[in-house]
Amino acid sequence: MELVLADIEVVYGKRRRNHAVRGVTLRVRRGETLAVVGESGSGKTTIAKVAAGLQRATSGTVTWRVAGDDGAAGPQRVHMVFQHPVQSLDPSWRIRRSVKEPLRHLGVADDEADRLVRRLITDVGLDPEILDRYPREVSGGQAQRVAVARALVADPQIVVLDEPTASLDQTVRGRILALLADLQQRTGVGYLMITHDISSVRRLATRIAVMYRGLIVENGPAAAVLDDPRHPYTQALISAVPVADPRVAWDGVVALPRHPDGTLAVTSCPVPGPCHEHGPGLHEVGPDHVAGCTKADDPQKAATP
Amino acid sequence: MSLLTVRGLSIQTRTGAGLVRDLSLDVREGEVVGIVGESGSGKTMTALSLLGLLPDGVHVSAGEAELSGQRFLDGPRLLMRPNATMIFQNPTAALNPTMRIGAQLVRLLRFLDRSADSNGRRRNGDRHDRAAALLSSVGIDDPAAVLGRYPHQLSGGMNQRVMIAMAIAARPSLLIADEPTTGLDVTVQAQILGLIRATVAEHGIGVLFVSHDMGVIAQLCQRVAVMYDGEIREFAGVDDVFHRPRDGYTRELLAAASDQPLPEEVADGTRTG
Repeated sequence: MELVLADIEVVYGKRRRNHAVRGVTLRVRRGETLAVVGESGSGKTTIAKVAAGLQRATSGTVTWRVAGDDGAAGPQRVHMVFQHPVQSLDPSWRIRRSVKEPLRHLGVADDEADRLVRRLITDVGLDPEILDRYPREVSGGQAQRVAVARALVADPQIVVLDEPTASLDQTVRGRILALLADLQQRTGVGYLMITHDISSVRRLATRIAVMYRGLIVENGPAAAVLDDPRHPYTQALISAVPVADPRVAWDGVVALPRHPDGTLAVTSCPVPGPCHEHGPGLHEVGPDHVAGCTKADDPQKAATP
Repeated sequence: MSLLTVRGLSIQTRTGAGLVRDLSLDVREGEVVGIVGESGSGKTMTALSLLGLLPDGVHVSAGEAELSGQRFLDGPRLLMRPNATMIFQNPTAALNPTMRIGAQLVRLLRFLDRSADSNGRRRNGDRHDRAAALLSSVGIDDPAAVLGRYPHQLSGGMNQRVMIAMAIAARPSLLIADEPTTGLDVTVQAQILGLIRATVAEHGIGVLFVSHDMGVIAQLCQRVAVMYDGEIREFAGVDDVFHRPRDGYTRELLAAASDQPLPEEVADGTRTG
């Protein structure tokens, strides 16, 4: 079972059209984690909202595809974990009600729902005693565990994680990532993880898609993208992360030449062969690994003369 | 020689709860000293207390601080304004949203001229040129355009450059930086860290740099104080802290900062590489 986003375009605004996402195609498989990495304004959060059904794409399709061998289709559900854990819980509801809410919508009987809620709360490493508390009475790390329990309680196929650890302390961050990996192992859920921090994805991601100004510029297996990035923007993003070792000399500023409007003006193209032959778009640069040509015309500029 | 010396600093709330207990550290000239710790560890309170900026209901209950050999903090009393400036986590919020960047810089320069009481009155036009020069010195390519903008029209990275320009305009001997790159994109963070390095090299100032990011600390600081629950657990050179940590909490921080799987994850078989 996989969630397929095909040729997604999202345009905000009527008069001043802001092309947030410009033709993005992604697949999220069960049991896998696709990390979408990008900086502010790259369109990554818009992709998360479209995948979770919280926002309609201007054009393009979101569909489910059943792969041959994974048997029953199961419920085609997507749930979401948000960046600010405490704010994503209703402050006037006890934790129990928040975690139970997805089941209530699905019409699950009350005693069955209670049983599931208790099981999930234990699965995410919390004491069921927390169910009677309010969000203000729990820490950020606990609230994020509650949010993970709520996302998984209705047995979804895919969970969208929007910067799930950005607002947490570093030691808590590691534990949440370990928890997410463990739950994936047990339930086979697929994750679409949105993050601005490419250094945090190695622990969880199976695939990485790098977004820049509404476009995917590189997409491939996590190890290939991290260890052998092909697109100059991916390379800049990785080298900008300070190395947590004082013995390693680091100067993260990679001078990416830019046009006056801010778009990249790099001269080295990651795609083998001359640019005028392979043209715009994504091209194979390794096994299951694609990168965008850097010299080909910007589709947005081509569309609006 | 020590530029900043803090001895036995304790910070309490009105109800007597201790936020920082018996903290001592020092910063030498031309040195960047980091304070690393999690939220609630007291690192920001320590930074704010040195400039008398603690929020209502929080005060220094004991301790003293000297800058360039002059005592400026004696327990709850701030004896004088130290020659130190500060940059903050959210630069866009730290600037006045209703004033153009140029007006804010000119106002600051007028204030500095008056307090320096130097060569008489200067005209605003001259200050405008000095403001533009300040912006160029922090790597802003088109200072004239930036001077005419409001903070909301600039990116976070650009606003942090403006904040750094304002901070160095006062020619401080100490710069206190409270998570100045948190919330910025990594490529912008790399530029700001490069600018702070260059500023230290050029002006020879000392920097007290508060951060939760071990990578930033490793690359920017010469020495680092690891804080946990209001206390310094370890204060040593970065190489010692990162390669010979003596404290259990430091080791936990380092393990969390590395992107490699934690040992117990591998043991569980949940994630291997």
